[in-house]
Amino acid sequence: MARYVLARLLRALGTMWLAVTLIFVGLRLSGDPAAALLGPEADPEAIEALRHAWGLDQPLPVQYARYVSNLMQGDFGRSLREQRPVTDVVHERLPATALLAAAALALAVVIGIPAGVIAALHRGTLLDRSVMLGAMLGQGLPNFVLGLALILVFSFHLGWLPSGGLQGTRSLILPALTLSTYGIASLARFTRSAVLEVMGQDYLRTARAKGLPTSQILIHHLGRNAALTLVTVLGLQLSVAIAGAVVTETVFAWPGMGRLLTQATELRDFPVVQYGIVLVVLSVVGVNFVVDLLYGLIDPRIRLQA
Amino acid sequence: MRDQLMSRRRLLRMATMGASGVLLSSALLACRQEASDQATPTAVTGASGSANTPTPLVSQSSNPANTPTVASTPTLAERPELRVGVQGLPPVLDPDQALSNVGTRVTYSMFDYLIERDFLSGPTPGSGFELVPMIAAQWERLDDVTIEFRLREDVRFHNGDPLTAEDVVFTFQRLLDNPPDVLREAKSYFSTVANVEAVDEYTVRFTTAYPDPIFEKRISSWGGWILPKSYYEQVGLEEFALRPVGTGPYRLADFRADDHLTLEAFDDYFGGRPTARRVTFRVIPEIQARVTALANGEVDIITNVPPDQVPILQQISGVEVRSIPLANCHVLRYNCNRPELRDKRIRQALNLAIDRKLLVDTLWGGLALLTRGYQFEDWGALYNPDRPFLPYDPDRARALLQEAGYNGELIRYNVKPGYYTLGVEAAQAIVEMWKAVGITAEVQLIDWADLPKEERMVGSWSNSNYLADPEGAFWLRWGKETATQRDWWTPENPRFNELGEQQRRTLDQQERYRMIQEMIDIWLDEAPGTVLYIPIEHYGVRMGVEWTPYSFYYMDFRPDNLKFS
Amino acid sequence: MVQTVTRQQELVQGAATPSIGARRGARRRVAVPVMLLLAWSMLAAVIVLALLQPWLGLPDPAAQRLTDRLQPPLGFGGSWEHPLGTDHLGRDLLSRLLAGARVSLGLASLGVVISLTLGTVLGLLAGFLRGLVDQAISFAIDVQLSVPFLVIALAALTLFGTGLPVLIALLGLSGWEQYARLARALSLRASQELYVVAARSLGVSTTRILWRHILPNTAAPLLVLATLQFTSLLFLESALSFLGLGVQPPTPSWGNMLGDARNYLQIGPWAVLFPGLTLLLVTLAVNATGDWLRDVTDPTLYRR
Repeated sequence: MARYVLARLLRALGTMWLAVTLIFVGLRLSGDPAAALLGPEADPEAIEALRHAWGLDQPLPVQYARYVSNLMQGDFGRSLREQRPVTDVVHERLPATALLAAAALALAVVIGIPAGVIAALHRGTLLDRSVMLGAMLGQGLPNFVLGLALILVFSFHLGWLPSGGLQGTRSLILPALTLSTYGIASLARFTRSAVLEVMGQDYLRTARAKGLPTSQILIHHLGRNAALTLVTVLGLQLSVAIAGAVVTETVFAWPGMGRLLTQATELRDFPVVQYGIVLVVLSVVGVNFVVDLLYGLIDPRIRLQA
Repeated sequence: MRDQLMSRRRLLRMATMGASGVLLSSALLACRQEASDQATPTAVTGASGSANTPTPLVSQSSNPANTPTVASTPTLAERPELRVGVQGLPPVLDPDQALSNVGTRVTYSMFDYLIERDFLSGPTPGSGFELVPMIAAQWERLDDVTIEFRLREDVRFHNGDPLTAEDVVFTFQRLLDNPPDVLREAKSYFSTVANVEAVDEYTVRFTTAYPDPIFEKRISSWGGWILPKSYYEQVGLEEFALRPVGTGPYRLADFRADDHLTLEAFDDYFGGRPTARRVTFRVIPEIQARVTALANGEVDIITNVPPDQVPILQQISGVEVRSIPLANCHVLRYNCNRPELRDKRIRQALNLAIDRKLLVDTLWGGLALLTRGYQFEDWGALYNPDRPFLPYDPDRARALLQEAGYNGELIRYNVKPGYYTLGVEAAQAIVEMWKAVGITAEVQLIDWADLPKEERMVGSWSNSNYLADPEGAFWLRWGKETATQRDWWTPENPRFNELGEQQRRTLDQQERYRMIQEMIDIWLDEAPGTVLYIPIEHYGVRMGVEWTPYSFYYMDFRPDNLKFS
Repeated sequence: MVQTVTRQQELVQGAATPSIGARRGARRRVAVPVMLLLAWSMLAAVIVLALLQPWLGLPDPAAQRLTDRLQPPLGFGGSWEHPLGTDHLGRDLLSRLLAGARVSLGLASLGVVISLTLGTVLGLLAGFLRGLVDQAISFAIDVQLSVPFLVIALAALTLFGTGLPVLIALLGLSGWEQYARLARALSLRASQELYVVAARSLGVSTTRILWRHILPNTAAPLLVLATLQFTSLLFLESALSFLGLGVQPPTPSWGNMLGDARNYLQIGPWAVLFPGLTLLLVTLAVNATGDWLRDVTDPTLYRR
């Protein structure tokens, strides 16, 4: 068991380390934050002085060593642009992104799964076709077009909803809807396939022949299958959420991490970008690790197979 | 069977993620609710714990009776809140660091100068350039190099400290005495100052290194904001940049960079009680969203309205567009060190091939101004109204290209998308105009600042005339010891720099006028760049908000410029 | 993590493993729905027109006429000169739409090809060879999964500039892990089949086994995945263009046409409508094809 845990832990740490290092190197090769901050017209001496103050004039390995040792002590650095600890800068914006992602996910589940089930149960009918068409449309437009269209219709022309920003529950609706559209559509389609797949299985016919009502069988098997589908789409949604969130957050002026990371990248605010990526990688890797761990606990065969 | 085993793992993953997701989001929602109820997250200034009563920061002021008087609460509640939708906010609020469009726009109502440029004066309110007393009640020149200011005695900082000559001296010494790197730009605006000292508690004397004809104008512009000595010395540069204290009608309440800046009324303002109880700047990057926010009543004013959106705003009821020409011009700058651009005839040809009027008419809907050479009307007596507009002459351009032996070398025009209003559109249009006279040209959407110097060719740029004077942009950006002459252009005619040095030490207006005009002639001849046009800045404003935009990026919310009806 | 894949996941990725028996000698007649045929003809029309665009007598996609900004399309006050209207710089929308089709579809196709090849090769090798190779490749997949791609893309574009080669490379690298995971799982399963084990013990070379025996059985689900990735690459390109980092003007792409035109939704909606509609139709067609491919390659799905 211990070996299993160790192997998984090493794997997780290795992933994190590699990701963070790649970002570190890539960022530093991509441009000069001092020039970005002071402006291109600034005194070359001033730029040089600032670079020195931030330790950017050191050779890359030295910078890296210093970064890693700071990390060990929990010091993630200061935002070059806002001149305060990176942890403050990023953590302030985390809740907004998490809220948006959670809302989008909830919408995807609450709308997508039932839609898929209904479509599967009424396969071939107009209902099925309409749901599928809706799903395809949902997957057919880029985020920002959809978002802007929603703003124009629901905020500008109808005046029902605010145009953006985090201003209470109503302002969450349009951004969450925009972000979740792809997820709703995916989930609907996949749920439909899953249900159809289940319905085509032999054991279903056997169970029915034995006298069990179809609904009971479906619920029993659907339950598990829906969970699996959900999980996989969850994974998809996570990556879509990070990417899509950048666009959605910009369109809706949502004060989240996506926008922060985009701006920080553009302005070469290295410490912020690094920390932001660390957080994302950490969450993905972390969840996977915990699950692997739990699973190894439950089923010995997996441990041995590793 | 294997399927079922695997599915359990997937189930576990789902459960973990789902559970943590639910827990996380409910926790966040709870926190969010709490936070917005309290409305005092990390960046709140020490000077306001709750809505109105300032808690005086510990100050070592010499005045023992240092208790601030605050206007009583009931009247505060009656005043409206002003909400402004902006495109961006500065990362820090130190006025000398936030020297940008987005920065000065919001710091203008938090800090004051010794002398104020009265934008509301003159025939076109918003573009005025008369100088009037502000923190200084009066001033006089004792001799060619000495200027003395007598301060008002009723000015207070947001934390309650009274303003004295010490604060003025401190403000400028901070810039002049070995300032930190981030303040170098502000320092450069006061390069003529040799010494500043307090004569008595309310009298300050400045000595310039040589006669400075525009010292008073400098004092009324960038870098001239008076800062509190005690408070600053307590908290230091970095803390001050996040929690600044000034003398202006509004003080910091809450700041989240890239999201919002909230200011609240400072009723002890010497210029009169502020007319709004609060001013909130909200960041809304997308123009459609800004327009929507104004139409919905979510905000009262929006900034950075491109000309194309003006007709839309005009159709929204309850909303109007207020426009003003900016003290700013979009220019092109040529890297004269490049072989393609070394011959000034080629550069002149580039300039002659641009149909500026067409750009103005089509891109700006006629709402931009052409310039007579490189001049701004607010130069006042130094402005020559008879100088012709910049010419459009494609035939002459072709002739010059031929003369210079131009052989189809590629000319690249660098422009950063989204930076200057209609910058990319203008670039694309201009490149087509160049192609029409036989120049091989292309647009490159990389900021010239991101290119190594040797690779820059044509850079899109803008010059803000931060002083109503040629020193404000012309000499400041194209003169000796500027980045332009360091990296882009060395004047062939040494007279340009000679005149430039002389004019800034000449107190005689007539003399200065002659020198400046000669300099402009040289600049037009050597063509290190060109002026495209003066953009007109549009604001969308809710009717009932009586506020006049200024010909600079400042948004002035002092009581004489902000009223509600 | 990457170790296994369930049938559900295959389903989710739009693929299902055909059983070996069904594949061999199964030459069923496949019914193609009418809608799909229509979709294919539309796709073909777009592609053909896009390729022929330079010779159709349309205005140059980069030619600006500032006096013709935001002209409405034919039927709404426009003229035959610009049947779909013009954009904010007076450029003809129809020719930009077609030229942009070349760019967007071309980029997406190249990206898919690169991803597909890279991912399949790595995945097959990982599943078949196991051991250290598998560990290394699985590790790479995990890293790719964990890091948010768009942020990487931003950094890369800031670093290397926004030239087409960089864009193609990025698109190619953005999705290989999906193919790799699927190919690995399928390869794992297939390599346990008796005839493969037999072939191995007989000393048949790895390449030959992969090519002749494993790949044909994994091709179908991978192709289905490719159709899904094609559309997501189209969207990735448009997201990058929205952020100013995609295809650079004056080269048109559907992404940057949408990005540029978004500020004119109210005064010139056609500049968004036409590229948006075309993108939508192409996406629908490609997705529908993917669905059909999946249905066709998995006979179990239609049993009742």
